[in-house]
Amino acid sequence: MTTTQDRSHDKIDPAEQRFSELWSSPTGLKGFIATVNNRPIGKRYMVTALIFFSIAVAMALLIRAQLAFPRNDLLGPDAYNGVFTMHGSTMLYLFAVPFIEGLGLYLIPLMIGARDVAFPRLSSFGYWLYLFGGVTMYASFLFGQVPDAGWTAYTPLSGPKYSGLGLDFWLLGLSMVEIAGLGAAVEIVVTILKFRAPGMAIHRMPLIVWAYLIIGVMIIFAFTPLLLGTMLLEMDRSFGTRFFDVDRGGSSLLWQHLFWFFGHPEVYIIFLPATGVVTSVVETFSRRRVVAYKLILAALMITGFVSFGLWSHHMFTAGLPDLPMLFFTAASFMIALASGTQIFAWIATLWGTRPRFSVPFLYVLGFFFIFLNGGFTGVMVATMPFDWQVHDTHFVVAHFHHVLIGGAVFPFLAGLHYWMPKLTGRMFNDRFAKLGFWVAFLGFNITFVPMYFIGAFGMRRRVYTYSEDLGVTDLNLISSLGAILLAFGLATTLLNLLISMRKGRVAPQNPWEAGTLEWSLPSPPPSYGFEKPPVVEDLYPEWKRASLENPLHTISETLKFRPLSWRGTLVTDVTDARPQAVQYLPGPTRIPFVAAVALLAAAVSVLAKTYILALVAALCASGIIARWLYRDPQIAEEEFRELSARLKVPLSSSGSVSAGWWGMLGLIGIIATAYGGLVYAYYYLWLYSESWPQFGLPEPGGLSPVLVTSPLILSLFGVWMSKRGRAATRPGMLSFGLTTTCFFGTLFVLGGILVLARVPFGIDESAYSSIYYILNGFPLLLAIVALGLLGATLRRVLSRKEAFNEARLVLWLQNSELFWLFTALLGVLSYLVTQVSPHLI
Amino acid sequence: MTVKIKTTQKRASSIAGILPQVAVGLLLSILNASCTDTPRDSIFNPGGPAAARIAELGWEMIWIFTGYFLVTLLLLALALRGRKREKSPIGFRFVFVLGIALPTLILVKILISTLQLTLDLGSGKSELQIEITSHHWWFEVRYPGYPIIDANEIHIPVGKMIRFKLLSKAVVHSFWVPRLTGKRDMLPDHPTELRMTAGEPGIYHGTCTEYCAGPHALMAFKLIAHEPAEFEKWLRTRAEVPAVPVDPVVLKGRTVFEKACANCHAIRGLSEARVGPDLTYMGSRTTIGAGTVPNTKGNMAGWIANPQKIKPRNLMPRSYLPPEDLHSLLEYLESLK
Repeated sequence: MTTTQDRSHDKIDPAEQRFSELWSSPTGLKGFIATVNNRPIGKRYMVTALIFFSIAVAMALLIRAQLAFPRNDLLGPDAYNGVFTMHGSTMLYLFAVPFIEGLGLYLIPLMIGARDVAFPRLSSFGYWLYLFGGVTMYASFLFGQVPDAGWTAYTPLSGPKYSGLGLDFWLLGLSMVEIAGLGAAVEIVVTILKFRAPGMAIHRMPLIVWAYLIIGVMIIFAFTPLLLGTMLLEMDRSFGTRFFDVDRGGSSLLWQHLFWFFGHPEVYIIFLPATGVVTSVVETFSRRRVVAYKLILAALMITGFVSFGLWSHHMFTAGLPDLPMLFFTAASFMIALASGTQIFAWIATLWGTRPRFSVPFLYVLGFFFIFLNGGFTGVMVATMPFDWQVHDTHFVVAHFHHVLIGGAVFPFLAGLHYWMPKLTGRMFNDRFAKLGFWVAFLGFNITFVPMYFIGAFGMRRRVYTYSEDLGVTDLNLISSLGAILLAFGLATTLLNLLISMRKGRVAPQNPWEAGTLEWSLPSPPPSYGFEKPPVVEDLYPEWKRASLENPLHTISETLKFRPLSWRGTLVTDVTDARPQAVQYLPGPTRIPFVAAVALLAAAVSVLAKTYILALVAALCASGIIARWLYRDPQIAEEEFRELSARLKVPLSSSGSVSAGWWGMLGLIGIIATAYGGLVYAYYYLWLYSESWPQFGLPEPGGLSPVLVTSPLILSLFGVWMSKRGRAATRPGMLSFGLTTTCFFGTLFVLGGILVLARVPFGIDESAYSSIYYILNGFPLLLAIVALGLLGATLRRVLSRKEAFNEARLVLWLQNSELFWLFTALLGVLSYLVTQVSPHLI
Repeated sequence: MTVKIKTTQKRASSIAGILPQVAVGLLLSILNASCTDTPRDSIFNPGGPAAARIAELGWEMIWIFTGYFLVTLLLLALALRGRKREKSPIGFRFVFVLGIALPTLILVKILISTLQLTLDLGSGKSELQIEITSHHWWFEVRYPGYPIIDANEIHIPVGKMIRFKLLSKAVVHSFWVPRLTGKRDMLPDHPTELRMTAGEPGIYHGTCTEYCAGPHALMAFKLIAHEPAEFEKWLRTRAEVPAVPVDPVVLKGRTVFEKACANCHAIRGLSEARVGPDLTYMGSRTTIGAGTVPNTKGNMAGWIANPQKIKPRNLMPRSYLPPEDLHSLLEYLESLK
């Protein structure tokens, strides 16, 4: 803060003044809603996540109070089941991942030298969805219908037969949070790939940024199956489908597969950024380049990749065949190797550096102690026969709290203290921070070490009461006392941060003498972040500044406080970070908020079982999102021409240069994963069925599906025409091609609806009929969206307002064609899966 | 203001001063609490060969990992407290040896033990099959080939490998006898299997380990291991239909049962209902409510009058029997031995 003030006293630069206003978020309630900039949104994410965290800690205290004594009657079974379900759900869905996303949204642009994230409106939309989702989950308390199926919500317990309205709150709230998470993931990935400072080639990216890049991709592949699972389950509950209804051919284990395909990567989605924080703190406090950068990077990648091959180690006791299941034991061991690599790389980095034991570093030491412990017991539970014993006991509870608190919460707290100057412009109170750390550290070990014993002595998890005959009475009391200590330590820490935020010492620009880019900015950074894109030549730009001869300085200087009349940031290429273009970034707008409200209305209508209203709200939401996408950037012509002349790179971009194209790729990745999950469900249900179609249902088929699918093939002709039309600059051919695609697309949709309407069975007849309808309906829904995109593009072309080769129009063309091709592919696949494959196998 | 802050800070640091003592004290008491006598259901107190082999693997891992944990912490301490150096004296090779090579050797060793153990636990010929079906918060037990249907108590012969065929009537449950072997889930759509052998006669405690909402905490069973000859005798006597009582009070109890209980509960020769547990030999069972309370007359009276008080959310409704009817019903149930 001092630095900005000092500078403004030295010289009052009118350009800086205007630039600062351009980038600052509007004030007032309306302004609050309209804010889109990454730093306010990132902070909101973190604050909201910490509020949820505090609530979940309070619930943990209730759990420990109930278990402090055998046969305690403080909470009955219903209250206890609700409390532990919400404790777990809050910690994992409403705290851990959103906190990471918030930290990432805040930090990543600062660490890579960008002025904002790639899709500012999407981050605002995501935040509101996350908040609404969390509130929806908690609204269940108002109706006395608290979800009680555990954070894993195994079917059939979570199905319509065995659980009440609480689960609907849970599922709908969770869906919103998942959509928010997916949005943030695409955002983070595209930002890292495209917005890095000139010269920050991939091998000069801080490891925490690498970690975020990896988890961004992981979220796309992990959250989507969960989103799919929650939607299928909600359909079972609200619309009578039968995916998980064992009486009608559904499967009890399908949910577990979908859930853990998300659930295991989820752990590493939380853990990898935490290791990134540890790396940042270790390298800063040791004042040394991290040892074995490449090994750590390899470890991060292996962890990310292998984590998708581990999900069944949560299902060791489900009675699946033994020997294949051992594969999952072996895969889990790989993770141990990757984690070990990181641990020893940090130790090597620290060797002989005599670091100062400041609070962030203390938390890292706490991380070492607790995470190592949890890691070793992780290998134990990954060993299948041993897991058969300790699965679903307090041993596992102890293990995952070691890994999640030691491996994630402690690094997060390290990060909050470490980046406090950047987040708030102030320093924390050192003494209280240290007190908070020590109390929490002791409290943690006293709470969770005894749980290993409690579990090994046969006490199960998720039980509201136990008998003194188990011989775990004293241990439970100790654990509960430890929990009080832990909660006290956490409360001290968070309160200290809260008070220091307002009253703490004003922070210097780089109190830790750290080496990464965010420390080149004042604390806190100005609204625009970087006045010009920083030029980077090293992994630690603050330790080794770029030489003045670097030719990249020219473009950087040109962009100093520019563009002045719209928000813009430099786009660089994916590997070498060579400047490519200047990306337009939207300013404050209320549209994301309104769209999120419409989606909330849809979810509430489903809860109230008013499905017509839900449909209307969903349509409204789509309309609002369509408007959001269709809106054109407001770019001042004059400055545009002037800047274009001076810059060597274009001011607007299309194809793989632009963030928009990558965003579309991300969306397609998400939809493809969801579709893959559906195909998996189809064959999984089939595999465990005696007959297919189940229960002697007539097999739909005949000529009509062929007739419906053929327009998809014909539409390729239209795409080919429009592509050629653009390449040959023949607007007539282009419009004709687009019209042809739209025509065949419409034919597909209408035909598809007609055929589905005439299927000889209802959607609720069996699991087969449910998956049949969904697999065939899914491409139809996508086709409607794709037609909307194609129609909008056609309108742009026909209106002739834009130059034919205008980058924005080209991007519209590319994106809508890409989306259509993808839709057509899924349409054909659905035909092959549901019509052809039953005859082949 | 500043003075106040200072005093609170002082207090804060004095609290920090006593923390290590508190910590040591508590850690000692944890050790004390965990080392007293062997807990009843400890997995490290095996009662059969399978659990013994698993416990062995567990100990092997505990020793290795404790060692590795301590070595790593020692290295960390050396890194932090050693002589100050300009450059790190260790690098890639250190990370490779301690983070990859050595752990790989250890993990391969554990993987081989695991493979061997998994193969061993899956082999061997079973000599008796027992079918267990889980219901909302209790277990039904059937012995194929015998008309016996029991609940929450499983009788087995010592030293013979038993094959349990597991199935669930509702949600997913899990079947676990900690001292004999690991657990196995009970699914509603596919039967699963679990083998175990009891090493010596006695009572082994078991539970449902997969969370099933409601009174999941109170869903337990007992596994009673007999000498083989005794088990044969048990099977023979249990296969018989209980005799019609002669005592008038007991006989009246039987009539009360027919009126008040027979819609849900079966007693061989009297009723066939399968909503609640079979009560043919209720008098010989040791607990009520799937291991919730001991089977005493008082508890049984309380259970019949208000089952929700003893095991909340269980599916049995309360009954409003006149005192005499209740008395004779209790006598009747007790007589079913």
